[in-house]
Amino acid sequence: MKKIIIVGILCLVCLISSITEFATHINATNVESPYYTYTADSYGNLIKTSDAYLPGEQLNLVNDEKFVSLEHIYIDENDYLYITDSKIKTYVEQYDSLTGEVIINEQTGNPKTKIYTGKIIVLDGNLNLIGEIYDENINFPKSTFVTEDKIYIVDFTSSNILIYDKLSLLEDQEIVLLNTIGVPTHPIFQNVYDDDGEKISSGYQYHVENIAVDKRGNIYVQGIGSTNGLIMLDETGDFMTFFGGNPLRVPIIDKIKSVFLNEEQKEKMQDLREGKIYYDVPSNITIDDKGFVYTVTSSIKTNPIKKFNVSGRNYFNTDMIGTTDMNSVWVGNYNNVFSVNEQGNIFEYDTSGNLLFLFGGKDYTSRRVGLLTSPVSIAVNSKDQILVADKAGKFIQFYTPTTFTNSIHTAFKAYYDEGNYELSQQNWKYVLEYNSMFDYAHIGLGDSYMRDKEYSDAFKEFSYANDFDGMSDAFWSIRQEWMQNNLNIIFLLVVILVFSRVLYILIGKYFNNYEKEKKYISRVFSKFKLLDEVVYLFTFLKHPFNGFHEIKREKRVSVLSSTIIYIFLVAVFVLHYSYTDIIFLQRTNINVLYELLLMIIILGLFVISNYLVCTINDGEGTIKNVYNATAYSLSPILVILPIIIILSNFLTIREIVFYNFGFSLIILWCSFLMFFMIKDIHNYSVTETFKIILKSLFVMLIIGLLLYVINAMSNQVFTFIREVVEEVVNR
Amino acid sequence: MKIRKLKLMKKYQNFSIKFRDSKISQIINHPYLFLLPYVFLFSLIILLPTFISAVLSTTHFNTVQFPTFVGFKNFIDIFSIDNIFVQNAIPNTFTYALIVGTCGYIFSFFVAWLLAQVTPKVRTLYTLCIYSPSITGPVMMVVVWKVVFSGDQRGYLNYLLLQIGFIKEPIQFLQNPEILFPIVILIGLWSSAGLGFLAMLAGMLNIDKTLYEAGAIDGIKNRWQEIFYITIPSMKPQMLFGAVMAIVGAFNISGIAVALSGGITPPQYAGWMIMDHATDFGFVRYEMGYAAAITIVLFVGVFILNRISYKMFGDNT
Repeated sequence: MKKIIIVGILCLVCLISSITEFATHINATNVESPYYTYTADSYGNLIKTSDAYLPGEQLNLVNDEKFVSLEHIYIDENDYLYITDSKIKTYVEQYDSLTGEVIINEQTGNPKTKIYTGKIIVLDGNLNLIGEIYDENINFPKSTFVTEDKIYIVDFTSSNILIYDKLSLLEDQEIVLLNTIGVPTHPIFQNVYDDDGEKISSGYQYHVENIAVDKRGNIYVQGIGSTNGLIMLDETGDFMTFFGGNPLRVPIIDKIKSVFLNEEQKEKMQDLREGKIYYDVPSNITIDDKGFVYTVTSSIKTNPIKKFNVSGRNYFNTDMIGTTDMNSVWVGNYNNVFSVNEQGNIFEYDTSGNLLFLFGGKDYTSRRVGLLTSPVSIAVNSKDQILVADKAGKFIQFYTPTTFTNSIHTAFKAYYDEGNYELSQQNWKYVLEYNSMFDYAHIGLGDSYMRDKEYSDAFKEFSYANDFDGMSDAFWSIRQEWMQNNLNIIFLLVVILVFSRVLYILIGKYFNNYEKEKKYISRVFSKFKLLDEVVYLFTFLKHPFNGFHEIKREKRVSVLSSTIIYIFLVAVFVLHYSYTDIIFLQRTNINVLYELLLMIIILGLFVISNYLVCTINDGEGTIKNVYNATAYSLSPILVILPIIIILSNFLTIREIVFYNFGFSLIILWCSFLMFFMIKDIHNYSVTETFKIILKSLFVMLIIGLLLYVINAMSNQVFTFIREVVEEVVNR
Repeated sequence: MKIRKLKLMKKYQNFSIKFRDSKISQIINHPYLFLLPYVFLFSLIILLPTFISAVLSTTHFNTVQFPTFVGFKNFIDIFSIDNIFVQNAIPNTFTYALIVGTCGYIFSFFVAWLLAQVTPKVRTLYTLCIYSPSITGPVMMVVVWKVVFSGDQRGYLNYLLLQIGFIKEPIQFLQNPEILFPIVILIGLWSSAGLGFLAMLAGMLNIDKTLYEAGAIDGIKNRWQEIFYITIPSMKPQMLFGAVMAIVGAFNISGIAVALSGGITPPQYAGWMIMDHATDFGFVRYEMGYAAAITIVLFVGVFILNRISYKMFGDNT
C-alpha cells in the first residue's frame, strides 16, 4: 500500500515539475539554462523550481585586452564595476620630464616603457571604460572597496590598504592617492625581539585580503590567518578591536579535560595540540547600508554566512542551508545575500538567511555559458544582475533575473521597505502562478495578509507552506476576534450553569435528591454488567491499589471490558493524529496506521516479555490478570488525551505549556500505574519490580533481535524455495 | 431567715424559669450567637473584600471616580486583548506552580520526614533554618540570590564558572529572559518549605509510635513501606493542608523576577506572574476593576485546583 502511495506521489511530482518546466519555457526568454534551480521548503529540503536567473553575457575583454588573473569585482552605488586583476600588465611609455618626448631605449630602438603589474579596471553601468588604476604602490591588487568618495584598494604583497580619491577618477583626472594604511602600529601586530635582535615571538598575522568600510570610515579587515576574526581599524588605520570571529572547534574531550587540568598541564596540552587546532578564518566580507557586516567562511558547512551587528551578534540562523567552500558574499538591493562556492553554485538568501535560490554548477569541459570553472567573486548591480568573476575561465559571467525572480524581489521591497502590502500581495500571487509550491511566496502572502488583518486568509497561506509559527500567530488573531465577539455569551452561560448547579445541589440536599440521583445512576450502571465494568475505570483511577486487588482477586472486570478499553485507546489515538491541531503535531502526512502499529507492537512486546519474565520469577498474576490490569493502567490516556485534543484546537504555540503538561501527566500517571500494576499483580516488592522491569526490557531487546533474524532468514529461505521452484518449472 | 432565703430562691427560680421560657432568653442563648464574633469578623475581613472585588471586577474603577458597571468586559479583555497576560503571565504561573507546587510539596514532605528522625533539640534548630527562607519574603530572598547570580564577574556563580574555565565571559543571568525564569523557579523551590512543611512535621511527630511497632510485627520490611502504609495514611489531614498551601502559595507568588532583574518589568516579561500582572494594573496603573478581574480569574483557577486536591487527598465527603 505504502509503495503504491509513494509511486503515486512520485508520478504527481513528475507531472507537476514537468508543468512548471513548461511554464518556464514559455515565460522565460529563449535562453535555456544549463543548470537546475532549487529553493528550500519550510523543512529545509531542496526542491526544484523554475529558473530564477538565466545566464546572460560574458565579459572577457576590456579594450581588446584579456583578463589574466581575476581577483575581485565590486559594484558601487553609481553602478560602476571595479574589476581587480592581479597579473595583468600595463606598459606605459616614459616621457622625458623636460622635453616631453618619448624616451627611446638606445639598445632596441623601441620606446622605453615602464611595466605595472596588476590594475583595477573601472567600467560604468553600460560596460564603457571609465578608467584604470595602477601605480607603483600596487603590486598585487587583491580586492577593492568603494564608498561615496573613496576607492580602497588592497595590495596583497605589502598588506597595504591604498585609499584613492574617487572624484578625480570620475572627472577623468590623474588619480590621487589620499592615504596608505599599512600594518597597524598596535603592539599585537609587532614582532618582539630580545636585546640581541633575535625574535622571541612574532606578531599577530596581518595579511589583508578583503575589506569593508562602514559609514564612519572604520575599516573591517579580513586577512589570511586572522584567527580572531575580522580586524577592525579606525579611519586612520589604528587598531580598534577584533570582530566577528568564528568559535573554536574544540573537541568535547578537550573541554572535559580542561576542567580537571591545572594551568601547567593545560599549557603542556596546548603545546602538544599546537598546529592540530583548526581555526575557521573568514574568507570574505561585505557590509550593507545599515551597517550589518556579513562574513563567509569557506571551512564551515553548517552556517557559513554570518550577519553581524555592531556588537558582533550573528543574526543568521545556525541551521541555514549552505556548503563548504563558499568564498564570496554580497548584499543585494533588497538586503538579500548572495554567495558563490567553488563548485560554481550560486546562493541567494533572504534578509534573515533563508535560502531563496540555489543554481549554477561546475563547468568541467563543456564551456557552456552559465557554468563556472573557479568562481572567486560575486557582485550584483542595480538591475539585479548577478556578476561572477571566474578566475580560471578568465571571464565575468552575467546572470539576468527572470520575471519570476523580479516579482519576488519587488514583493520583498514592497513588504519590508515600502510597507506597501497590496503591491507585495500582487507580486506574491504572481509568483505563485509560476510555482504554486513556492513556500516563501505563501509565507510572504500570509505575512502581508496579517498586516491587512485578513487573518483567515493568512492562516490558509501559512498552512500551505507548513509554517507552523505563522499559522499559530494567525490563529491567535482569529481567536482574539472570535473571543471579542462571543466571550460575553460564554461567560454568561458559565455563570448561569454554575449557579444552577449549586442551586440544584443545595435544593437536592434539602429534599435528599442529590443522594437519590447518585444511587439511581449507580443502580442503572449495575444493571448492565459490561457498562459497569467499563465505567469502573474511573473508580480504579481514584483508588488504583484497591483496584489492582479487585481486578486480581474479585474479578471486578472481564476480558471483554478490557478489550473495549483497548479499542477505545486505539480510537483515541486515531483521533489524536487526525484532530489534534497541526500546530502542535508539527508534522504533515502522518501515517496513522504505521504509528499505531508501532505503538501497539512496542506495548505488546513489553507486556508479553514482562509476563514471560514474571512467570519464571515467582509472579502470581495470570495472563488474564495482566491483560486486564494493563488495560486499566493505561486508562489515564482515555481521560486526558481527548481533553488535549479538544484543547489543542483552541491553543496557539505560545500556550504549548498546557499541551505539554497534558502529555507529561499521561506519561507520569501511566508509568506510575504500570509500575504498581507489575508490583501488585505479581506480588513483588519495589526492588524486585525494578529488577523485573529491567529484565523485561532486556527480553524485549532479545525478542526484537530474534524477530529481525527470523525475518532475514525467512527471506533467504523464501528466495531459495522460489529459485528451486523456478528451476524445476524451467527444466 | 431560712424561709426568707428559700423564698428568695424560689423567686429566683421562678424568674429564671420565666426568663428561660421568654423570647429574650431564647434569643440571647441561641447557639448561633456564639458564632457571631467569628461570623462578624470573617465577613468583615474575608467575605466582604472578596465580594467587593467580585463586584469591582465587573466595573471600570480608577480609584477616583465612582465605578461604572461594564459587565464582562474586563474578563473578555483579559483573554482576548491582554497578550502579556495570556502569553506570559498564565503560562509562567502555570509552569511555576507545576514545578514549585509539586516538587516543593514532595521536598517539604521529605524534609519533614528526615527531621522527624532526629533528636528534638537539633530538630528545632533545623526546622528554624529550613522554615526561615519562606518567612523572609521575596525581596529578602532576592538580596541573597542576587549576589549569587550577579551579572558581572564578581557574582559567585560567574566567578566560579570563570575559575573553572567553563565560560569565557560572565553570563548576564538576571537580564537573560531564558535564564531568569529558571532562576525564579529555583528560588521558589528553595523557599517552598513553608507552612505546609511545618504542618506535615507536626502531623508526622503526632503519629502513634505503636503503629510502627504493630506494622513491624505485621511484616513491614523497610522504610518505604513504613512511609506508604503507615506515615502517609496517618497524616492525611496534614498532607491535604500541605497540598492546599503549596497550590495557593505557588499561584500567589509575585515579585521575584522583578526584584531580581530590577526595573518595573523583567526583560521580555520572563517570570511575570498573574499576581505581578494584578499588582501592575492595580497599583501602578490604578485600573482597579481590571486588577480585580485578574484576581478573580486566579481565584477560580486556584479554587478548581483545590477541589481536585481535596478529591485526591481528602476523605470522601
